[in-house]
Amino acid sequence: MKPAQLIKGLLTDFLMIFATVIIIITILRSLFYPDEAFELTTVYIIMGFSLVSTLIGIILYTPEGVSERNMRIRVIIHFAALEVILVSLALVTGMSKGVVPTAIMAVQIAVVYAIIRLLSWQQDKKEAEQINEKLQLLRTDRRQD
Amino acid sequence: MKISIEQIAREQEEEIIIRCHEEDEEIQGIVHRLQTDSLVLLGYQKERVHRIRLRDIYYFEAVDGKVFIYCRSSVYEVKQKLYELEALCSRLSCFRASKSTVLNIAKIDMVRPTISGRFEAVLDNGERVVISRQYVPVLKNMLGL
Repeated sequence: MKPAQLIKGLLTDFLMIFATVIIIITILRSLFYPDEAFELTTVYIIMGFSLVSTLIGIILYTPEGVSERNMRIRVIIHFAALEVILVSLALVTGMSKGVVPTAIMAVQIAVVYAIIRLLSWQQDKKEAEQINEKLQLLRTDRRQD
Repeated sequence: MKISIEQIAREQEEEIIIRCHEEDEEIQGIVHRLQTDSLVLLGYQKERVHRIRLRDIYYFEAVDGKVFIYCRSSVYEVKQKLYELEALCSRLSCFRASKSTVLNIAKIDMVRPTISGRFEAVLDNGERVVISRQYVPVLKNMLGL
C-alpha cells in the first residue's frame, strides 16, 4: 500500500472513530445525564483515544502476500495493543480507578472489539454471497453455451 | 443464424467477421468466447516453451520480480509484466485480485470472507487465493454488481 493511501485510510478511520464515539456519548449523556456539562477536556481525551486507536490500526495494514495465519496473529496483536493502550490511558487520565473498574473496562473493550469484528464479518459474508450468486449464474450460462 | 466459412490463402491474415442486425448480449458473448479461446500466452517451464490458452489459466502471480502462470496443476514462467497481463486480460475475464495476482474469474468456485477481515477465492482446483479488500469492488464491477 502506498503511503498516501495509508494516510488517507488512517485519517478516515480516525474521523470515523471520533465521530462515532462523540455521537454515542452525546446520545447517552442526553438520556442519562442531561444536566451535566460536556467539558472541553473530555472532547480532547476522546480525540486522543481515537487517534491512538487509529495509529494502532497500522498493525493491520500489511504488505502483500501475507498469509492468513500471519494476518490472524496481527489481529490478536492489534487487539492486545488496543487493550493495553486504552486501559493505560484510562488509568493515566484517571478515568478508571481500581482493579475492578479497570477489569470491567478491559472486558467492555473486548466485547466491543468482538462485536465490531462480527458485524464486519457478517457484512463481508453478505458481499461474498452476492458475488457467489453471480459466479453461479456465470457458470450456468457457460454450461448452456 | 447462417454460418459461413471461407478458406483463404496462407499469406492472408485469418479474420472472423460477425454480420448482425444489432450488437446485443448474445453477440457480445460470442465475441468474448472467441477472444478468450484465441488468446494464447507463451509459458516457460525449464527449457520448454508451452502455448497456454487463457481459458486454461487460473491466475498470474508476481514473485521476486518474475511473473508466473498458474494452471490447474502446473506453473509456467511468463515474460510479460503483471500490469501488461492485467491490461491484456482485463477485457476478458481476469481482474487484479491483489498487488501481486491477477485472477481468472472463470476459475473461481466461490468467494468467502476470512476471520482476519480479508476475502479468499476458492478456485475449482481447490487452490485458495487472497483477494485484497481494495480489489473486491473491481470483481463486483466485473460481475455487474
